[in-house]
This record gives sequence, structure tokens and C-alpha cells, in this order.
Amino acid sequence: MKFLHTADIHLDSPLAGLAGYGDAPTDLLRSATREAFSGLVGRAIEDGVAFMIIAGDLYDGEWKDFNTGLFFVKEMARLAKAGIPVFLAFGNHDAQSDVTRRLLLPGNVRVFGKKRPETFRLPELQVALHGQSYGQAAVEDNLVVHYPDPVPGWLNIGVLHTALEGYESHKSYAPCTVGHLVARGYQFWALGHVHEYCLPSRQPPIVFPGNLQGRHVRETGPRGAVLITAEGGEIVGIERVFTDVVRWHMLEVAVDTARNRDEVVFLVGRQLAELVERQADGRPLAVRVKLVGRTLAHGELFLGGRDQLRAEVTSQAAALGSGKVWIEKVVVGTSPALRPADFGARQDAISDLARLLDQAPRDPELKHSLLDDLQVLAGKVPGELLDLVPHLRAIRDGDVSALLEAVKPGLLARLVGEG
Amino acid sequence: MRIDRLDLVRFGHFTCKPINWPRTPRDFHLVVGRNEAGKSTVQAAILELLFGIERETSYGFLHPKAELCIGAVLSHDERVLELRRVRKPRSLYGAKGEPLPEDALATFLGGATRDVFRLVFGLDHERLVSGGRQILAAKNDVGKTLLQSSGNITHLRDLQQALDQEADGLWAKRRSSEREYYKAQIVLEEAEAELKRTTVKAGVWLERSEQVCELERQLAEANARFDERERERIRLERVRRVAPFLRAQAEASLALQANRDVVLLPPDAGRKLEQATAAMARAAVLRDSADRYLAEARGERAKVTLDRLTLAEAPRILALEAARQQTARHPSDIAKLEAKITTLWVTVHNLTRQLGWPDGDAVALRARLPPLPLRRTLQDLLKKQGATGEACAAAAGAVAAKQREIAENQVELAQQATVEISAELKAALDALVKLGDCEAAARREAGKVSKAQRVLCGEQSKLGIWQLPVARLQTLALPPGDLVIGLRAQVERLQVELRAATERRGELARELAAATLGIEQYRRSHHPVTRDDLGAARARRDLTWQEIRHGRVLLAQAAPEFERQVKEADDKADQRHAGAQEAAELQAKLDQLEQARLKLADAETRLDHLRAELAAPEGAWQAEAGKLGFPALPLSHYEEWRGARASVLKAAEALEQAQADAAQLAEAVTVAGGAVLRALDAVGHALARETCPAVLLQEAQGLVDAAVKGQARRDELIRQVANGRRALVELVDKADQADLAKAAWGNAWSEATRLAGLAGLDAAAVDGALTLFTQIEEGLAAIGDPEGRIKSMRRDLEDLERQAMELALTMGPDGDGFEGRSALELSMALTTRLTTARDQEREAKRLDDEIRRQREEVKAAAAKIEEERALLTPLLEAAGTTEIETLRLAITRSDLSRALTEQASQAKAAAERAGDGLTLTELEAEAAGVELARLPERLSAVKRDQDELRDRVQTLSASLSHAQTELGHITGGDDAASAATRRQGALARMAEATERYLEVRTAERLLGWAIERYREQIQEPLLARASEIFAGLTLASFARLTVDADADPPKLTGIRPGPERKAVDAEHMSDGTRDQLFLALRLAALELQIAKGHPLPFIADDLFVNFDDERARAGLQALARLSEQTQVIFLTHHQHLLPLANETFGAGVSVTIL
Repeated sequence: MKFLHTADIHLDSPLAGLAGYGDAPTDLLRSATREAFSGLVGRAIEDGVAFMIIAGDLYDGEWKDFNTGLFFVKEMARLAKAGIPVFLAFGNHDAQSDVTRRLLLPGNVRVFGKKRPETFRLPELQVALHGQSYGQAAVEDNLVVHYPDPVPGWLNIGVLHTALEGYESHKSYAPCTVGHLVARGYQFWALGHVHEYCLPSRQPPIVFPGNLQGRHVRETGPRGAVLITAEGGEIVGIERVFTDVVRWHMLEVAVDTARNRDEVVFLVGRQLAELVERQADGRPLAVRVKLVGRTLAHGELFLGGRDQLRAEVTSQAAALGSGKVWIEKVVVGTSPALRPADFGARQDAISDLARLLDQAPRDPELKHSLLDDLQVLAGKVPGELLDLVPHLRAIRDGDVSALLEAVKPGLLARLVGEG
Repeated sequence: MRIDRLDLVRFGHFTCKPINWPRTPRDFHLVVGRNEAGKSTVQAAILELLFGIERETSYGFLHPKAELCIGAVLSHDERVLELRRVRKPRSLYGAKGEPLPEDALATFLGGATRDVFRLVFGLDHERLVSGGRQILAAKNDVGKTLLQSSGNITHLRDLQQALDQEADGLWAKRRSSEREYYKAQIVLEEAEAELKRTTVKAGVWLERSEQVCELERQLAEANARFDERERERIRLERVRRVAPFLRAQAEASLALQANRDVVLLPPDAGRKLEQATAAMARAAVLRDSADRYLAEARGERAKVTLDRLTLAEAPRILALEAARQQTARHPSDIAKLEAKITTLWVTVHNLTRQLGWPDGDAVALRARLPPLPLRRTLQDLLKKQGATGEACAAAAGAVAAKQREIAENQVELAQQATVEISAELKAALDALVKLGDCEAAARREAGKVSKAQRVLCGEQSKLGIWQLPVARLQTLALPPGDLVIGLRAQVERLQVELRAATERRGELARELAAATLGIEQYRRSHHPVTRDDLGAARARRDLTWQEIRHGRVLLAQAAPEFERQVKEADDKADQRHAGAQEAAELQAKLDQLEQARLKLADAETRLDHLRAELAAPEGAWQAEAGKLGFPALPLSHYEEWRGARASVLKAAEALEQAQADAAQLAEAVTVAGGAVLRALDAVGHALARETCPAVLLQEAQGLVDAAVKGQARRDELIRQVANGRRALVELVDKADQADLAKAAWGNAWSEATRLAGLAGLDAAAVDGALTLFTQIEEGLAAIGDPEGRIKSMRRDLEDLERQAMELALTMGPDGDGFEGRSALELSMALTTRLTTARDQEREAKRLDDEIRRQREEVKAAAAKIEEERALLTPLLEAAGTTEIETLRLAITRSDLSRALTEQASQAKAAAERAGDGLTLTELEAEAAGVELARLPERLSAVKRDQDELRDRVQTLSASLSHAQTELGHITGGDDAASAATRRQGALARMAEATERYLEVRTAERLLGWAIERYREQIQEPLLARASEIFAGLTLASFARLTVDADADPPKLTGIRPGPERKAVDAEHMSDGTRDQLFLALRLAALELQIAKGHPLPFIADDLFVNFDDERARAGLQALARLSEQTQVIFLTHHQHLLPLANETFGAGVSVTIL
């Protein structure tokens, strides 16, 4: 007997960070989460699984469009037509979603109760599924302690949306430990909430399948669900099923040896080719390229035309074949080949200039003048940009020291003609 | 650090070449060498010694690169280091060959890199010139000038401008679709609007679903009630339709009963009878006509007889006629050819007689002609005779001409005189020439002044009506920039909004027009029946009914119109029911039209509001313009006016400069003219002091030119005499060769004429004989061709005669007059006879055909009459008669009986067709159950019910359609997701633009700030020292350098000595002075740098290329001061600098000659 376990679908959650340039794969991005989910449903039908478990977070909590719910219903209807039941536990996002509350689900979808744990039985398979949905977004109690005892002789599966101990990057909802889960005596725990695939326990198996589709550059690598095989009331196989239609990747390129931008672009192109060869698995890649290292090209990269740099890197990506790689962003994280002490030791005007630039962050007149200009922009930008551009918060707070310190080496490198 | 000794062990073209630079109080060392002696090699060797030999060095052309080696003895403070540098990874070795660490020189170099050393401690002429250009490019920006002159920082201005432009392209306060941030923001706003529009909330979906369900239920109920009333209406309508048919069927049945004994004939009996009688009459007429034509044809045929013998011989007669036509011109052609042959023979005999030959036939004459090769040899010798003779004569003539030319040149050389010009005159003339065309220059300067005045006037005119004197313009207090920008931004924003609102109003007006047109088109294409249309039709029907009911019109008269109105009302009701959907859509369109009207009114209001708002900033600007004294100056023109004001001030400054230049030129011309006058006086060519510069220049130049030209002419004559003598020897050799060629030709000529039988004849006679040979040969060939053609034609004529005689014998017994006639006459007579025989044959055949056709016509007419009669036989038998008239009467009675039967049958069928599938019995029973008099009243009541139900169905259908459309928009589509994705993309672009703007703007500000600080902190000492050096380099032509702080931005200027202290900015200095300015700045910066830190040797390469001796001496003195602080190595290829160096540094100055 096989069944599918998925979670954190976040249907129609927009993919973030891929700037809307002409080369952006708009159609693919728009439907990525839907395509991933449809792919999973197709796989379930194709493999003839006995049932599917969804361990929370169908949609983003703040997402209002009811069309998303209708799409979910259509996909569930496909499973119903194939005779596949679905067991659904709402997560924190579902609890705050208006779509979840109003949507009428097909008969093959059975939702775990919110007030207390509920058990669904499949007598013909000798399977019992125990689970509880979130009634509100922030569930800070340990729900596991109220889960029922296992049905003797049956395959008992626990379904829960939880942060589990040790996953600090996610909000600590329905906190519990591996020990709590193991103590229930179930043969399998189907969890959700953590977007990365992980297996906190092998015996009994406790699984976070991760989300179906990475939505930004922090969710890199393969994404999907897990296909579980059970025999005689025990789990005998756990197989990952990859459903992502666009795969994110962070590519750090060391450009220490490059003497100018052309050489930097060449190095990037070479590593992009290797990446496609190694990582893409036939899927399009959305890549953030981060240039690192101490290089003579730093001045040119930092203060030369950044649009051109992006265009040249994009050309390298395009050269790999249509639609294989899209560049999310090119981040210049390099530093000058010359160190600050080197500038000071020079016996020319650069040493004077370096000395003067060292004084710049302490000059109130410069800071005031700069703030006059930058605060206008900082005051106008949408709030979301404050998270995307870290310097903006400091500027709003009247502090440009960090910005001056960040810009200074690049300017100095550009002045001495590095690159 | 200093270099005590440089050892060029294996480097460039040097091998084991030591150069010693011993320490002296003034550490100055001169290295002199001609071009390619190795100065650049020395300079490169120092660089590669200190910082390593480059992998791709170009100095490995003599020694292999791997073996390059440079040695040196370096000293710093009390430390002395002897080392060698090789081109290997481990490159430093000590005096005894021991390896040294690679950073062994670090303490000697004090942190300087290769680039720093090359750019700061090295200076060559090329960089001196480019430094001067940088000063010019930096213009008034003192900070950048000083920075750039201090070392290896270049393109500061370009970098700062590029940063400023990039930042401006990313973001600025003013919103612009050209800026990256705003481009993304526009996409963000569109995406957010799209997201808001496409997002469907759950409550909306539920509400729409429930609404659709309720409307569907109500609509089903109304339709059911309508169907029930429809069934009743159909039953009543059927009774009304069927009743007349039932009545007609009964009446026809009664009439048939009365005619039951009539013999029934076939329905088409009458038609058959008429067709047969008519056909028999037509056949009788045709038969009579054919009998008549047959008799006539037989009479004509009897008159025609045939010539069978002639017809049988037709092929031979035709062949004879063809042969006759082909040979008809032969006798005349033979006569012409014979005459031609006679003429040709006369010509040939005339030619042979000129050669002295007797007349003979063609064979004899051909035997006497010389063979062709011999004739060609004679022709070739004739051609060469002229060339051989001419070559001899030409060679002799050339020898004589060259001898005469040499003699003439010697005579002219002896007559040439010499003239000497003094050096003073040349120098004074050069000075005057350098000034060029003084009068033209003066006119140009005056022109520049005039042009500057015109420019000033032109610029002033650009101020328009808002003009002021220049002095007033300079002191005019302009409105604060922020205020103007703010007002302009406000006005522009309002104008943009006004334009947008105007466009919006236009769009709405177009939408309104489109909606109106759409409704009209919809009406035209669908013809929907409105409630009013239906009501009007019913009103007309009811009015007619009332007229009938009250007896105001007769029923029989009004019935047709009433029935038409009833039908019209019913049709419209049916159409309205069937077109409920169309009517609903029409109503929806009418609603949209009303909404469009409301939106248009809102747009008009918005437009008025914006116009009122725009008046505020314009009023504020009028107040500011009033302070300027220009109350009518529009805000939109202010920036243009401000620019025009700046142009006016600049033009005024240019005018002032042009006037100063004109005065300076006049002074220079006076000085140069005086010098030329004195020089001319000294050579005895005195001129008046008032002589104008142009005449002075002409006189002096004429004197000098005459001397130069005389000398040039003498040199030319000497050269020509020498060349002539060499050429004469060659010409004599050529004359001897021509004589030898002429003798060889004579021998060949004698032999050829002898063989041709022409011995003893001269060249002209032989040439004539050759021509005659050719003509005789051509004449003989022309006679042979016509003789052959005459023979052929005579054979053809004989053949024709023979054929004619044979045919005449064949036709003889039947023909007359053939005997004694020629072949030609026989042929023509036989041809005529054949033509006649053939005409008779054709006529006989035509008459035979006509007789046959008429016989067939008679037979066919008789057959037709019998056939028609046979067709009528069955009818006659059925009617029991043999007379055709009796038959016609019986057919009339039969047709009447059949019509009655058909009438009854049709009435029954019509009743069944109109009876909706009911049997006749059922229809009769149904009609019997209805009182026909009350039928209209009952039908009206039913239809009223239906009309009400129809209206309700229509209303419900429209509502349901609308609700379904609204719900249909919610299909699970991803429009909102798409908008959210686009929104995220726009945010990412905004973030990139913002991040980049922060970096670039900060860098631009930081750079500007650093330049300003540099100027503030380093300017004074640098400027003071540079002033001293510059004054020295220019031999006190400039007193000092200064920064004009009052200018905006401050600018660097040189100050002239004297009480006027005239300022000259770098832009207006000569190229040389500008180079000296840059050298002064570089040396000053270097001195300050050395004073701060670690001295390194200064390597100067031919800096004084364009310096005159005095300024070169001053340059050496400036370097002397530097050499007190650090070692100076001066490379030059100018030997004349040696005495200057001895003068500056003393006789013991260190000099190395390469």
C-alpha cells in the first residue's frame, strides 16, 4: 500500500525576487505553485495511491482570492474521480484564511477537527489517521499530548502542523519534541510547517516533506512531497517525489583571479554551465549569482554599470539554452584587491584620498547632506522594500555610516583604476 | 632610497653595462644618449629592478628572457644593499649570489607599488602634455586639478559625472518614467490595481452562487405556468383553424352525389385531344411542300454532264503546272549571267597586260602567279624598309640635339650672378612672418570683437522682453532655486493630471459614443421587441375590436384588418418571449450607457477642479516674477530666461577678452615692423618708417626670395650639364646600331625580288605588282561561279518540255489544238480544263443530295398523321364514339366530376394538417365542444395571462443571465496570482534600483566631498610651492598661481607680474605654458609627498622638448631644488642641455653618456 504525504502547498503564493525584466519567465512563475500541486495530484492518480495526507497550509494566510480555493477543489475532484481520499489538517495559514473557512470541499476530502484530535479509519486497509486542525493562526499549545492511543494491529498515522523542537527559523506553533511524537506509539508521523525536507526520526518515521515549490531564493534546491510505502502495518519505504517546476539556487562565484568585468562574466558563465549540468534535473533554474573574493575588478563591478553586468550575466545564462536559467539577481559581494593598509602605504595622492575617505563617516556635514537626499527616497518606498534593502531602515533612523563604510572601498578601488 | 649604481648585466641591448650615480649635495644625474641609445631601457631597468621583471617584458630581444639580469647598489638611511634581479619566481640575489627574500626591497620602497612608482616618481614628455590637457579638461574645478596633478588619479570628473548620471537615471525626486525606480513603481501600481480587481473574496462568491440558485428556481416556475396557458391557447387556435375546412368537406360530398353517372376519362384527356389535332394539321402542310421541291430538283439534275478523262489525269496536270511555275524565270537569268562573265574576263585581261603578260585562259594565268609565301616575304620587307631608315635618322638627330643643349647650359651658367642676405634681415623677416598677415589678423581680431558684440546682442535678444543692462543682470537677485523648482513641480504635476483628466474625459466620451452605437447596432441586428412595442400592437388590435363590437364598422369590412392586427400582436408576443435573452441584453446595454454618462459627468467635474487648482502656483510665481521686475514672465519660461541670462554674462566676458587680444596684436606688429626696417636699411634697401607691414613684408621677402631663387638656378644648371654629357655617350652607341640594321635589310630585298621575277624593280613597283597579283587571283575566282549556275537552269527547261509532250499525247484523242503548242501553253490549257470538270462534278452531287432529302420529308409527314390518329383511339373507344367532337364533350363532363372529388379530399386533408395530429373524428368532436361565437373572447383571456407570464420570464432571464455572468467570472483562474507575481517582480526591481541608487549616490557624494576636502587641506602648501616653481619655469612671466575663490566653482589661474596683476586661467595659456604649469604642480606635489614620507628616485625623461634654452635652464633649476630632497635621474637626447646642466649644477655634475 502506498500513500502520499505533502504539506505547505501555499497555492498561488507569488514567487518573490525575480525582478520583472523582459527575460523573466512570467508564465512559468505565475503558475508555479499550481503546476507543482497539479503534478503531485497527477502522480497520485498515476501511482494509484491509497490516500493522500495534507499536513497544513494550503494557501498563504493573507491571500484573499477565492479562485485559488476553486482551483484546489478542482484538483481534489480529480482525486475523487480516481477514488483517492484526502486527509487534511489545517495549519496556521489556513486558520487565518477566509478562503479556507468558506470553501466547500468535495466528499473525498476529510478535514480533521479543530477543537480536539480526530481519528479517521480505513477498515479495508487497516489504517487509522489521527490529526487535529488549527482553529486559530497562533497555536502555542502542545497538541500531541491529546492525540488518542493507537488502534492495535492497525497502521496508525499522526498528522500535525508543528514547528517541532529545533526549527527556530519557523514560528513555534504547536510546539512539541520528537520524544512526544514517538511516545504516542504511532507507526508514522506526517508533519507540516517546516519548508525544508527533513526526517527528524527514522523509527518511527517522522517526516517533514518540505514545500512543493520554492518561492524565493531562500528556498533553494529540490522541492516536493514524499511517497510512503507500508506493508503489514509498518512503513517500509520513504521516497521523495519532486514537484517543483522552477528550482532556486544560490551560486557563489569566486572571482579573485579576474582582472576585469569581462573575466568575471566568463567565470560566472562557466559556473552557470556547471550548475545546469549538475543541479537542474531538467528543470529551469532561478539563480542568484553572488560574486565573492578579493579582486582587481572590484571597483568596476561595484561602481561600473550594474545593468550591463546583469545583462552580460543574463547573456551567459541565455547561452546555455532557452529557458534553462534565469538570473534572479547579481549580487556584488567582492572586496578590493588592495587592503586598506595598502592604500595608506602608497606614496601618492591615493593615500591622501584614502585618509580623507576614512574621515568621511565621521563628518556630520557630509552625513547631513547625504541624509537630506536619501531620506526622501527612504520615506517614499513601500514598506516591503525595507526588508529587501537593509540600508533603508538605517537611513530612516538618520544613520548613513554603514552605507558610507560599505561604499568607500569600492570607490577607492574604482579611483585607483582597479579593473 | 637612492640608486648608487645600476648594472645592466643582461638587459635590452646592454651587456655588463654599469652606470654609477654617486651621491652629491644635489643628487642630480644626467643620462645623455642619442635616439635608440638605451634611455628607455635604463628607465625600464630601474622599474623592473625594483618591482620584478615582467613575464612579457619586451627587453629580451638580445639576451633570452630567462637570462635577463639587472644589478644595483641601493642605499636607504644607513643601509646599503647590493643585489641582482633575474626573471624567475625567485628573482632576488645578493652580491655573492646568495638568494634574498622577495620582499627584501620592501623597506627601501616604503610601500610604493609598481604603478605608484611609475606614475608618481616618473614623468615623461607625453604625460607632461596629457597633464596639461587634463588641466584644461578639468577647467575650473581646482580640487580635481590638484588631485590629478598629484599622482595617478585620472578621469575624476568623468567618474563623478558618470556616477551622478547613473544615480539620476535610477531615482530622483521628480517622478519620471525614464528612471528605473519609477518604471518599476508604475508596474507595481498597475499590478496592485490588477490584483485588487481580480481578487474575488469568499463572501462574494457565496452571495453570487445563492443568487443564481434562487433565480433559476423562480424562472422554472414561471415557465411551467406559461406552458400550461400555452396548451390552452393552442387548443382554441386549432378549433378556430379547423372549423372552415370541416364545413367545405361536407359541401363537396353533397355535389358529388348529384353527378354519380358520369364516365370518368383520364385527367389529361382534354390536353391529349388538343395536341393530336394540332399535330395532324402541321404534318399535312409539310407533306405538300416537300412534293413540290422534289419535282424541281429532278429537272435540274438531268441537265448536268461530267468530263471523266480530265478528272482522271488531274495529278499529272497539276505536277506539270508546278514545274512550269518553277522554271518560268530561267531564260532571263541565263542571259544575265553570261553578260557578267564577259565583263569579268575584260577586267582580268586588263590586269595581266599591266604586268606585260599575254592574254590567256584561267589555267595559264594561274600558273604565272608567284607563290603566296614569296608574296608575303616581299610585303614584310616593304613594311620594315621605312622603320630601318627612320631609326638611323633619329639617332643621328638626337646626338646633335644633346650637343646643342650642353653648350646652351654652359653659356647660361657663366652668366648667373650671386647675391648674399644678412642673418639680421632673415631673423627680422621671420619674426614678421610669424605674425602672419598682420592686417588680416587685425581684421580678424576686429571681427572677433565685432562678433562678440553681435553674440552679446544676440544673447540679449534671447532674454525677450525681459531685458536689463549687463551690469544689472550680474547683480540681479534671482528667486530661490527650491522655490522655483517647487512651483514648477507643482504646476507640472497639475498639468500632467490635467492632461490625464482631459484624456480620461475623451476616453469616456468615446465609450459613451461606442455604447450608443452598440445599442443602435444591437437593435438593428436583433430587432428585440420591447414591452412598448408589444403594448402598441395590442392597443391597435383592441381598438379595431371595439369598433366592430359597437357596430361602428361592418364585420365583413373590418375583419381582414382585425385579423392582421391580431396576428401582428400575437407575432410580437411570440417574438418577445423567444427573444427574452436579447431584450435582457439590450437592457444591460442601456444600463451601461447610463453609467457611461455618469462617469463622463464626473470627469468634467474633475477637470474643472484641476483647472482651479492650477491657478494657485501660477499666482505665487507671478509674485516672484514681480520682484524681478518682470511680472509677466511665465514660470515655464523662467528656466530658459535664466539660461539666457547666463549666456549674456558669458558673451559679455568673451567680448572683453576679444578687445584685449586685438590690442595685444597691434603692439606685436609695431615691434616686428621696426626690426625689419632696420635690417633692410643695413643691406642698403632703405624704406620709409611709415611703410605698412604688408609692404615691408613684401619688400623683405622679395629680396630674400630673389637670392634664394638665384642660388637654386645655378645649382640646377650645373646638374643639367653633367647629366647631358652622360646622355650623349649613350646616344652615339644607338646611332651605330641603327646603321647595321639597315645593311641587313638590303640583302634580303635583292634575293626576294629575284625569285618573284621582279628583280631590278624599286620598292614602289614591287608593291604595285603584288597588288596586281592579288586582283588577278580574285578575278579568276569570280568567273568560275556563274558558269556552273547556267548549266543547271538549262537542264530544268529541257525536263519541262519533255513532260508537256507526254501529257499532250495522253489527252490527244479528246482534246483540240495541242499540236504545235509550247510546254508552257500546254500546261495552262490543261489546268483550265481541269477546273471546269471539277465544278460540274460538285453541282451534280449537290442535286442528288437534295432529291434524297425531299423524298424523306414526304414520307415522314404521312407517318406523323397516322401516329397522332392512333393516340386518340383509346379515348374514342372509352367515350363510345368515333367522332372527335363527341369525344371533346365527354371530356368536359368528366373533368367537373373529378374537381368535386378533389375539393372534398383537400378540405379533409387541410383539416387534418391543421389539426395537430388529431384524427378527423377527434377534430369534429373538439369543434363541437366549443362555442365558436365566444372563441375570440376566450383566446384573448388566455393571451393576456401569457403576456404577463412572458414579462416575468423575461425579467427573471435577464437577472439570471447577469448573475450567471458574474458567477462565471469566478472559475478558479489565476489572474490574481499573475498580478501578485508581477507585483513581486516590480518590488524586486524597485529594490534593486533603490539599493543601487543608495550606493551610487553615496559614492558620488563621497567623491565630491573628498575632492573638496583635498582642496581645502592640501591646496595652500601645494599652491604656494607650485607658484614658486611656475614663476621660475616661466622666467617670471607669471608671478604666482592663485585660486579665484569668488568664482563658482573656484578656478585655478596664473597671475601676471606688475601692478595690473592680470589673471590668466589655464584655458587661455599657450600649450607650452600649460605644460609648465602642470610640471610645477607635479613637482610641488612630489616635494610635499617626499617631505611626508619616504623619498624615492625621480626619473624624468626629456621633459624639456618644447622648452627654449632659457626655460630649459629654469627647468633644471627647479629639478635642482628637488634633487636636494631626493635623487633625480634626468634622461635626455639633447646634447645642448649639457652646458646648461654644468651651469646649473657646476662642472662636476654627474653625466652618463650612453
